[in-house]
Amino acid sequence: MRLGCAAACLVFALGAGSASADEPGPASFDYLYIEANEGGSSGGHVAIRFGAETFHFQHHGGGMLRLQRDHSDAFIHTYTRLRNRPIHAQRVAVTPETYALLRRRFSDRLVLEARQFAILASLQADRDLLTRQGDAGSAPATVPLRAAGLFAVPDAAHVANGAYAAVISAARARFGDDILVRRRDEIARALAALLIPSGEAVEPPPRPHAYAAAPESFTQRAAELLEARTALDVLEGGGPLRADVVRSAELDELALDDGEVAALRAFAGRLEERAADLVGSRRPDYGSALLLALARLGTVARSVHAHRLALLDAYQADAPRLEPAELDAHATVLPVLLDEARAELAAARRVLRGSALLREADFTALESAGNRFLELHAASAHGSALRLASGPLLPSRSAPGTLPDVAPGIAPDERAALAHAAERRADEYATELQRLYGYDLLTRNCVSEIFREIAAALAADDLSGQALACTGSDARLGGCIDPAARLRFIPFLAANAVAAEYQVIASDEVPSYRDGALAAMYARENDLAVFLRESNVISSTIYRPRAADSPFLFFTDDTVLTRPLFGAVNLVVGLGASAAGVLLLPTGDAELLLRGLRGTLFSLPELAFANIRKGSFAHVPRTAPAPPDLPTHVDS
Amino acid sequence: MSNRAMDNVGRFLAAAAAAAVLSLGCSFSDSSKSISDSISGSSGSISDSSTSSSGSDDKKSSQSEALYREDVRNYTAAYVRDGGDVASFQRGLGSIAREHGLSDWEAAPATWTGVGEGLKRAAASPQQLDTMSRELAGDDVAKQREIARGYTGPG
Repeated sequence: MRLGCAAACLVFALGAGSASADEPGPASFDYLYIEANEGGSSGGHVAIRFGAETFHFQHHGGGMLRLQRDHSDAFIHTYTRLRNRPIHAQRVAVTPETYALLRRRFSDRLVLEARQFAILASLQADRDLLTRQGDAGSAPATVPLRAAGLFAVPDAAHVANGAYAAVISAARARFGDDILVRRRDEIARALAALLIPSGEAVEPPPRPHAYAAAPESFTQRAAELLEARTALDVLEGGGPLRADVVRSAELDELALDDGEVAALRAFAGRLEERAADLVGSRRPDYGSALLLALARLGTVARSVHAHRLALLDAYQADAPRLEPAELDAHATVLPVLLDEARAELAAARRVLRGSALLREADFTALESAGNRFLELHAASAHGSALRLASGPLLPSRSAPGTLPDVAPGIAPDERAALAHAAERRADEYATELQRLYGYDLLTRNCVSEIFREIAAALAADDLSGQALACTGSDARLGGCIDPAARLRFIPFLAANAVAAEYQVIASDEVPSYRDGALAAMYARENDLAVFLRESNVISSTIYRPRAADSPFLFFTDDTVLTRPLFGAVNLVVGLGASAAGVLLLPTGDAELLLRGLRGTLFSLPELAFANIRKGSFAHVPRTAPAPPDLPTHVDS
Repeated sequence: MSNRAMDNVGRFLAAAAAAAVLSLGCSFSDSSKSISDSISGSSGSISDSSTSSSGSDDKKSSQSEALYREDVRNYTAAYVRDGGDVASFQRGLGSIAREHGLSDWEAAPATWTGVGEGLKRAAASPQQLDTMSRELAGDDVAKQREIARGYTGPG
């Protein structure tokens, strides 16, 4: 039985809405199996999709398996187009209540797991700080102060200029004339009373799927207090923005019309009100939020004054970057990316022309789009390095803040003991997280965790961390998949298990980018000509060899019969590259050798009719024609 | 042997080869990024939806806000259920907000609605509602109203 595309395409309707986690939702979810490729996941990958959200487990550095949530259309774009991997989707029928239970389980885990890793990071920061302090002759300890790096340190000639007089006035009206004095006193007292956790302090061990209680981190609290003090300094002193954090350019794309200027002026008024509120806020980390609000007031004022968008540099200091020499390899892609960034900026600017008051989320979207556009423009026009970042870009450039002596009057051996205790606490927490989330190829991987979460979501009682409880899954999904049984931890066998155990009402495949492009070529050209031209990386018009892929000559993902023959040639190519790499070793360049060895390894399965390597793409425009729809099968 | 069977055998061999030779299973989180990460959306953080260039900006924006509210709700429900101190809870709220592109989470009504919904989901008593309202919102009537709206609403 077959369904037409009208139904099939629902599976991958981009931007499909998703119901609230607690509301009755659509009566199905999608189980996604992503075929293997070299690099990211040579064993294949799986994900579970709830409308616009796709959840999947990724193997992180440090041997951890972490849950990730992506926008569904971006997930499909990344895997099928950039990574050139077909996705096999199975739609599973469920009741709205079951849908809500499943989605809530994954959503919950996302925030609770993230909190546990944040606690680990704060424990490790305490450890690092105390260890450094223990070193003889060490420099005064510093902690990074979020958003403090957006402002220049005023020099001796700087005089308070009243730049934020309206904020101060509003804060005094709201919280009393002495609010700034009171806040400074609070900060000074809290800094003086900061305590290093004693050697006896013990963290409650993290539990799966539970809110983790977090003891106060010495480093985090110190940073918060210093951020607050810096924010008050900037507020009262009119601290200037650093010249290198303000981004603008004489470009038409940044020119503002009167309506947009009016919208920004209104936003500035609102921002002043909010900055005043933050002065009296009870949240512990109000300092960094106040710093950002003040910095944004500065760029908005410049935008209004010049009728040209000026934005804070929103990239993280450690953002990955492509140096100019590396960008040469992407010369043809840069203009395409710039066009896309220009379109994104134009879309983000639409909020300036609407009637609704600009919210922070809207302004962040505008900042993000503007930063990406300016970054790509600088790389294209001036050959600058290109910084890379996904997601919303929230300006947060940090500056080091010097701590008072963290352990005054404490003997060196006692300091060492405190440092040792901090190290023990961080190590124990890391060990527990490793026990809960440590990646294991066979027992805890992207497949096993999805099925465990499904079973736990539908179990009568939360049995997290215990044996698989199948009762609820059996009742609600028609079956239960134990990843430990019958090799079902392997992605493609797990996909078969889904078809066998759950109530799958439809299945579909989204072809890889190359498969889709090939299908279109076969439809309009001579088959033999297409095959001969596109079967290899030299004459292919779809694919260009790239350093991220291992060296190979023939594609083997779209052909079965010739796979061993092509694989043998690829093996020779891999061995040849390895040999050339050996010759380059004396120059200190091991890159070619490593790529050659990888090419050799990924050619071996091809000799036995198995394909892993498919090639990948640095960029595929999101405006590229969608892959052709393949027939959708309904399993009876 | 049918095509499907051959396909399965091929995939099994591929998976076995990958596992045996490379010990690589699931997708690896790649911190090095590709050039496609120079624009939003390609890497797919759910919060990217607010910057999408597609036509339905309003819908995407409200969807993004709804996801933020849900994260706050889920986080609040777990906090109410398992306990902890308020300052630490607020720091967690700050982290969630930053993921969604917000630094001033106190100014976002969705924060307070989400807190109210989380209290409801955790089956918090009216006394717990009052206590948490006071601890988080102080005497700010607008925030308290949003919390109450989330607590009594359908979400």
